[in-house]
Amino acid sequence: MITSIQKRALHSSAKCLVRVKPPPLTIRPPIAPTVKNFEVNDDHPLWQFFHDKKYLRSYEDLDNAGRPWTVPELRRKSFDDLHSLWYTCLKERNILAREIQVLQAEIDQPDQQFMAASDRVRETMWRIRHVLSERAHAQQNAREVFEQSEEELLDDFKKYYLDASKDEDADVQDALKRLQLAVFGISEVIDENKVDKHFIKGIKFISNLKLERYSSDHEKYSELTPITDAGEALVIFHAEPTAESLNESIDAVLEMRQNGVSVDRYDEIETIQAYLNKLLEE
Amino acid sequence: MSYLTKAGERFRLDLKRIPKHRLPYFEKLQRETQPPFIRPQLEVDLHADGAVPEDPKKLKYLVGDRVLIVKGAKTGNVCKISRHVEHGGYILDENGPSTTVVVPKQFWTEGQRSHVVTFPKPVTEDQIKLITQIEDDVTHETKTVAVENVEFKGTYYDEDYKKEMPYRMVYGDDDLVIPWPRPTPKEDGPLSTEVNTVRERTYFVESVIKDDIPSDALDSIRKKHSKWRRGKLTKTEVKRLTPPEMPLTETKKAYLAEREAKKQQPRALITDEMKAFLGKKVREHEVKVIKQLEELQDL
Amino acid sequence: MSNRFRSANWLAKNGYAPQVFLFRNLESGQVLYSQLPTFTDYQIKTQFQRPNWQNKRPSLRRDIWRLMAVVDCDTYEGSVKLYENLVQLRSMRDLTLKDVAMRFRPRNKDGNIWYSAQFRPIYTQEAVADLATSIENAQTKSKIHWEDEWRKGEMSNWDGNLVTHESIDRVALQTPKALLEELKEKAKVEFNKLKTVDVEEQQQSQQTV
Repeated sequence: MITSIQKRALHSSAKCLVRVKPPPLTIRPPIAPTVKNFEVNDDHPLWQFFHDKKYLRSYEDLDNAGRPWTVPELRRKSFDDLHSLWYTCLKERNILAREIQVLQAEIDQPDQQFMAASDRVRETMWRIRHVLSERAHAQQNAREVFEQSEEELLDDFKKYYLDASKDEDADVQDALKRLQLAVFGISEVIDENKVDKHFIKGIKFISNLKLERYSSDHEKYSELTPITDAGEALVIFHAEPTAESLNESIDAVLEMRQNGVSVDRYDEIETIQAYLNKLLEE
Repeated sequence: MSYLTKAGERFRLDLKRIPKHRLPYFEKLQRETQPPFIRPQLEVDLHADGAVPEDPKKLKYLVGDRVLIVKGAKTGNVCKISRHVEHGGYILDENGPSTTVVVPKQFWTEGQRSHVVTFPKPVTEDQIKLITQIEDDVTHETKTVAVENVEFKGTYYDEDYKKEMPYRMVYGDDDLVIPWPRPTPKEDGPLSTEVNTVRERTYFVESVIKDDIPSDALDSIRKKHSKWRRGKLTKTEVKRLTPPEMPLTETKKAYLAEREAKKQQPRALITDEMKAFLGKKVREHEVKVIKQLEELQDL
Repeated sequence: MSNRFRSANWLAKNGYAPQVFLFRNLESGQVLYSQLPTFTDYQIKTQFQRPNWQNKRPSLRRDIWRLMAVVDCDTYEGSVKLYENLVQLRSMRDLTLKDVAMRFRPRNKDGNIWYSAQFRPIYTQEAVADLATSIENAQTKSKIHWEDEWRKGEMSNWDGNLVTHESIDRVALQTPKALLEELKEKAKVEFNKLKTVDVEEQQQSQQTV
């Protein structure tokens, strides 16, 4: 028979079962809480309030060399650029505000260097707003002036467009593209366009202009013009600026008239928008 | 978070706006409340703007200029300007004047061992003269001289300062241009943007109809309901701009009401009979008057 | 029920799990140990034996006590031993070894222990240290459910073979009664599982013999 001691010695868990003498019961230094126990994601949204995940920057890490953007510099930038610059500034100001708050607990007042850095960023921010509001006012004023001189400008262009020789065709087409964007807001890219009264007015004006330049010898020209139907105008507007292409579109328009296809003046915006949407889907 | 906004800035105590007769009080307050190691070394004019100017004409001497001390304890020393301070002071290098103050322990800097600290003492413009090297007309040797005074004429673009700088010349002698000292090159900060990115133009006016700014963004650029917008009046303003109504007596009110009622009545039609009657009456009166006039002539 | 000392048998018979509960006082930061998920004047009397102006005897107001930690032990005896150790260490800190305890308390450069009105963060830190000592002394395998992981401090303070840590769900903390009930049920299931494993092992060893 095996004694209990022998049994224990042979057993694999002998080591585990050895009676451990517990440490004596006495007090030890207090255990302070620590942030090391937290795991924070790298993409935690609150990291945006920290520069480089630093609790507090030193004075050397601050941007002391820079200056705010000036108004003339900002005037050259598009809205998208200014918008992103605004948010870059806002983030930096948030970081600085947090750091100032942290420092304020120690020195009882906002830290001068951090405040100066924050003020420099703030300067850029009010200038962005200034430039944008200036631009908005300018656009508003331009629109008011343009309303009065629109007829005159379009007449001038019409004269130039019709009088140009065949060699100048490319220049004339470029000018037309610029005009349709400038006056009627019609962009070359289809999905940038939103159909409104200016768009409708534009396609009517341009289709008449194209017909007059390229197809004025067509036998049905005098019967056809002026184009007042938006659907017909769109067909001609899409045609290539050549005599053949425009003659084809004239045939298409005549066919439409024969079949009684026309766009009601009161639904032309919706109808043309629906047509453009269909084009985009294709 | 009042430090994030500048809204209350204009209500803060601004010594520049305090009337002159009250300034001595604030001067005394500053003298008594500021310990010697904080007190400004220069005489301070509380009404003047003491900030360090950016205009080189106002600064006269820039950092790096060599100057000769002509007044005070260190007269005759040649120093370099190392810094500008508020209220028109120049801090010179170790050859310049200095002052010793006692600093309490809580203001000690790192590595400080003693309560007694020597600070450089700022000098004013009249205590220094600029030093430059000129060529002698006769011997053609370069010699170092102190300039009595300088003046500024014309401008040029300085690559190192990256701005328009005036030419600095000896007063009364336009040929003797004293070049500005070269600044220590600055490194780009973490927020700096590259020159080419800054100068690149991305905004082009292309259309009258299409705006660069989305219409939804306009309200956040300019306050929609700002009271400074034209045509916006508050209730109090309307009240203030409207004249009060005259208080009327009961009699006056009754009279006005009667007049109003009379106005409402239809006008009486004048018939031919009436006209003939009126004409007759007028004729009679005229005859009477002519008669009287004739009688008067006879007299 | 928690108005007197409870033995291991009593706990098992009355459907409690082998647990020890730590509550902290929001006003003062003092910590209360309990064998049951509730506490009464009995715990306060035994654990705050010599109150003074900076360590006042806390009130029983239920709204200012929050759960700090729940310790699950592997045996009822272990949980009782753990509780006894904690109470003994508290009396050491307050009475017998007070000077040592005071020396352990960190001080600022003016030589003062940090406080704000009645709140002293040192009490919770001492309780955490006592919990670590008690577990090592009782040699009972335990799982600590922390209200806030922050409080457990450096992991080097804990015996890795004896202690496992877990954090309590933040939302569940808002309904402490339901939470304690759930923890009790879980601990009981765990305990029963351990017991059956032990019984099987014993049977196997008997068969081999």
